[in-house]
Amino acid sequence: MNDELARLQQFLSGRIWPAGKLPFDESVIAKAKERQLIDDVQAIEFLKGKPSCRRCRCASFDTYIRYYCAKCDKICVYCRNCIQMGRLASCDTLVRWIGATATTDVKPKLQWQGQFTAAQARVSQELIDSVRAKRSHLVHAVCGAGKTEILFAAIEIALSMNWRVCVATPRTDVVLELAPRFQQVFPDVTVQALYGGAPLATSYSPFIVATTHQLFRFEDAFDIIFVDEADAFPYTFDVALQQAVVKARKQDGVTMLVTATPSINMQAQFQKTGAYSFIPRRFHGADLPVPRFASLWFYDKQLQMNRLPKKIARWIKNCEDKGQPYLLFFPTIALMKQAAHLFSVPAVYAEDAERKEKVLALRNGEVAGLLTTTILERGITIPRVQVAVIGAESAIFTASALIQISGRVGRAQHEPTGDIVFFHHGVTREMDAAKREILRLNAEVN
Amino acid sequence: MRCLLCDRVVEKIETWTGLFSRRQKWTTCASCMAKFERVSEQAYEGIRTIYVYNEAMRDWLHRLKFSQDAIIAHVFADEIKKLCSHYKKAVIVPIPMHPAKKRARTFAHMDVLLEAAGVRYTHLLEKTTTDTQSQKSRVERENSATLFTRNAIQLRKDTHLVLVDDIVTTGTTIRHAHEVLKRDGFTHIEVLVFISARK
Ligand SMILES: [Zn+2]
Ligand SMILES: [Zn+2]
Ligand SMILES: [Zn+2]
Repeated sequence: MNDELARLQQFLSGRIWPAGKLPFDESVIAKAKERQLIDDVQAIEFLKGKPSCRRCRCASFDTYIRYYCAKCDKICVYCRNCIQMGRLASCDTLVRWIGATATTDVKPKLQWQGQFTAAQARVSQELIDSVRAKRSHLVHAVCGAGKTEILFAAIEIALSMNWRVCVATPRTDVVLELAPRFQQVFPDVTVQALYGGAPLATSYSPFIVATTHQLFRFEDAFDIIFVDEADAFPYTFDVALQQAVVKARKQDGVTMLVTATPSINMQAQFQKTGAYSFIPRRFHGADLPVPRFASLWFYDKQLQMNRLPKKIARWIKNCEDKGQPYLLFFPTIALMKQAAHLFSVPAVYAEDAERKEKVLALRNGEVAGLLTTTILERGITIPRVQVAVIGAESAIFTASALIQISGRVGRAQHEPTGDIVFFHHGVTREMDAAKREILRLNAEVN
Repeated sequence: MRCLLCDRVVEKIETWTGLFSRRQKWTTCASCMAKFERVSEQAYEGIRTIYVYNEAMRDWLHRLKFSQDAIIAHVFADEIKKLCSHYKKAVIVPIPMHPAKKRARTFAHMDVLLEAAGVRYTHLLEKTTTDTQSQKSRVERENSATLFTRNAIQLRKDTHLVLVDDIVTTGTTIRHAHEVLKRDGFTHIEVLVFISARK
């Protein structure tokens, strides 16, 4: 195989890519086709008359839109579910690599000298056993349980067997946080981080960290997929992610699922085979911070009248005096935007284009704190962060959301405690349930 | 039902009319609709514009034209239907897209907008160049040779025509199209453009 074809092989192995959008010359693609190294598949297939997108396999009928196509001069169908990766219609094709797949002979050495707690060491070994037996495994871990480190040894063994490894998570922020950590402990392999807007590397990598959406660009690619959704919300196994994992995994591949809340069914199923691990506590062995409730009557009226409630002002001052970064959660974007001018720190919300930069600024200590809506509740680690929830009685703050928010606090090993306060206009059942669950998790014997 | 733009679930309020009329298939939530801003003062002479080119509008137009998400034409279906019904007995004439460009984009968004609204239209013009106006300088735009030619469809010259387009920036496109129709002898031409680029 010549160099150009080898480069195409590196890029396209395990991938399924829109024809005409490949970062390669037409001549290279033609040559590969001629040698039967690649083939074309229809982007939208019709299975028993029902459209099905070959990239995202979305099963919802509403996803598929019929339109009069000027290119074909007939009715065509396109998929809306994965349209942000470039629209696919029934008249488009996807390219697959069908020749021998790329490999690497790098034998990665794990460069990590951290200390495990007894629970971590046990789970790490259980994972290794499952990798060796090539069986799927369920890790039940509470937020902040030091779950990333637990994967290290299992990943090292998988890579050393020349397996292709993927760590998948629903969120871009988590990819951005995890990829550099993996790269640091596996300096001999190139860890590819894939998320919307990431630069496109054309080289082959045996180790990919990707968002759910980016996983859709693979088919039959991975021997092992670690699904990290311990910080996902709501507490259900994401259907889209599930589909993406099944599609991206090889026929005989396995899934290692790390989650905070497995369903009873799932637990029972994995417990039967012994491929089940549970870590009840945080990696530093300290308890999860227990939220405290503080009344803040008519806070919305006060904010709307441009008054910053004294309790909030005092709480902020306390954080700033101690040099601790803080997060203030608001129930709605509207209220947050309205009140933003009362605070000296930036506000961040879901559609915020500068979201990434603002979170980074907080982590780097360039800003003292952030105002945020519930978007920041998952997967964000900011050392020493203190958290206040304004209007904790609002419907959006369900028990699981409040548990996740509380989980932001006290994640650093050298400072495992912190303040988590629910400012409220009346205590709700959800607030009580959140506090009860955290106390229960703390009481679980390791 | 989900919002066409933000995908959030929209609660449909059941009303008596809702019970009797055909179930609406596509919907846009109130918070997405509220982001569009209406024109308060007409900024172009002889052109009626409806919406301002703000962030939400830029997004919507981008998704329709470049992401080729044809279905979001339905966001303004009711609005466009109502607008066009003001022109009784008029023939709606969309600004055409060059055939090559139309094939590349797989649809002409202006036609799709009208079709979503159930508005009948007739093409009287043909685009002669694939260049877009926004790629040119102002001087180039003003001086460019004719952008359109008249096609073979014949109508009485006193037919009331309404030229429609998606967005107006300098007004050159519209001026050219208007010119071609006037030269052909049409005496009653109005112009309706959905988005105004001028505040
Ligand atoms: Zn799709
Ligand atoms: Zn087509
Ligand atoms: Zn919406």
